[in-house]
Amino acid sequence: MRGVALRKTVMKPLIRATSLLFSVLFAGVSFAQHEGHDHAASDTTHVHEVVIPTADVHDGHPNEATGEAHDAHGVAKFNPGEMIMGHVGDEHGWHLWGHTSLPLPILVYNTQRGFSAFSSAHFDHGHKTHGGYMLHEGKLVATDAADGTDAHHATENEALTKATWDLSITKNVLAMLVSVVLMLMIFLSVAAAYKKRGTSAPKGLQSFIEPIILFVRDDVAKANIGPKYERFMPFLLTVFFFILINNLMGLIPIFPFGANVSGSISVTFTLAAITFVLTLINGNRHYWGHILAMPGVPKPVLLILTPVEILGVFLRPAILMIRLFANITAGHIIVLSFFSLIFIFGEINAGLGWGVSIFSLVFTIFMSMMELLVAFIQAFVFTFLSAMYLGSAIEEPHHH
Amino acid sequence: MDRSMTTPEKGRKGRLDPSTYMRLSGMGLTMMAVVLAFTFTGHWLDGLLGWRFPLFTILLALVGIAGAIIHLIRETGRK
Repeated sequence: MRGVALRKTVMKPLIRATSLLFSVLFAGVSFAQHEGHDHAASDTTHVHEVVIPTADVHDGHPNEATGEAHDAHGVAKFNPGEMIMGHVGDEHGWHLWGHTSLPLPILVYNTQRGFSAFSSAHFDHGHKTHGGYMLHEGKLVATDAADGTDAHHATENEALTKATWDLSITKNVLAMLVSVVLMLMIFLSVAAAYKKRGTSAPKGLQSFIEPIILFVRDDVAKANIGPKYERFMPFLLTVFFFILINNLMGLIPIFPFGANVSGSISVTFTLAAITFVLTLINGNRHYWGHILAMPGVPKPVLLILTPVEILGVFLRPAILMIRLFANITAGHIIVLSFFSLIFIFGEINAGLGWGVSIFSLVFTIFMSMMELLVAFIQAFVFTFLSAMYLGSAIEEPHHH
Repeated sequence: MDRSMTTPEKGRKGRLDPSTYMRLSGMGLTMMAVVLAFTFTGHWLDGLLGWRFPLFTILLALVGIAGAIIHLIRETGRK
């Protein structure tokens, strides 16, 4: 059908372009940070004149979420790198607007200190220590400083940090819980509708969800796994809708949405790990035979091919993990970069900022439309490839 | 394309079967990772042996490239 043809001709180059932009942007961010450090080091003896809007300049404490660093005169400086990374990353506490953020529970287990729980508000956006812990560049680290000490002057106790397990309900964890509630609401209502209506025509939300479920069943599961597809349907459907809903939630910029859950490498790692384990468990003799000793291949070539195939077993889920993470994060970074342009130009001249904002808005809307497509495509790709790997694991030998 | 003919369940109405290109979507990264894995194994071996000539780094890098290409040919030529 046309959808598939479109995906091939248009989406492939676009996805590639997105990934390229992503890498370029990342290079830019790291470059900017280096510059910032050099600047801070060389500028200690000079008169304060901030040229480069980066973090760690002078005694300003950057606010990760707003990307603001204050120079010596107390004037807020906009830092795009900080702002973008603050938004695509995870955080303890959920930044809402300006200097307002929702405090979240910090749950931490230390093998020496035991378990402790308190609100992230005690950290005062990473400025203060509490309960023997503090935030260092967004990460929870152990310290020996007393409660309420300025975190920028407290030293980290590295040995204790190594013994620390941060189990906090962070922004991403909370967003994931919201998505779980959302999924339960959607699917319990759809399931109830099937119970009530039976085989008669679907209605309302049910008629919206049914084609998507059938699409996953027919075009993803049946096409790749074959007659034994039913066993994997719960997994494939859950993964598909989990990724799709979290992708879409990430595109809505207001609380409780806007967290970058499916663009978090730990989330995609876990999803890929489930696929990996399922493939290992379900792999039959035929599957392992093909990996360890590909039939019809001469012995000397096998010596090279077998390590490659074994590597492939680990590489496939690894690439699955990176693909989802990179695509979703890239989209968020691009949208945030267009936003940043407004403020970068606005700092030069207010009128220029307003002028640029028109273009920024147009590009942001365009990118958001792209992201809407990518949200579906990446959920599809992840599920499709998972099904393909599972299919190859349970495939029975062909008789020619 | 050829695959869709042998399995009528997939290529119905002459549509392009996504698995034909989806299978190869991670090929670039796979090839890169294979070459790197072999090269670093060689490097590690050389470090272990401490010879003046980095024989295994060179040898295994070449084997890795060969393996990646063999893998590519097998994957693209399948069925």
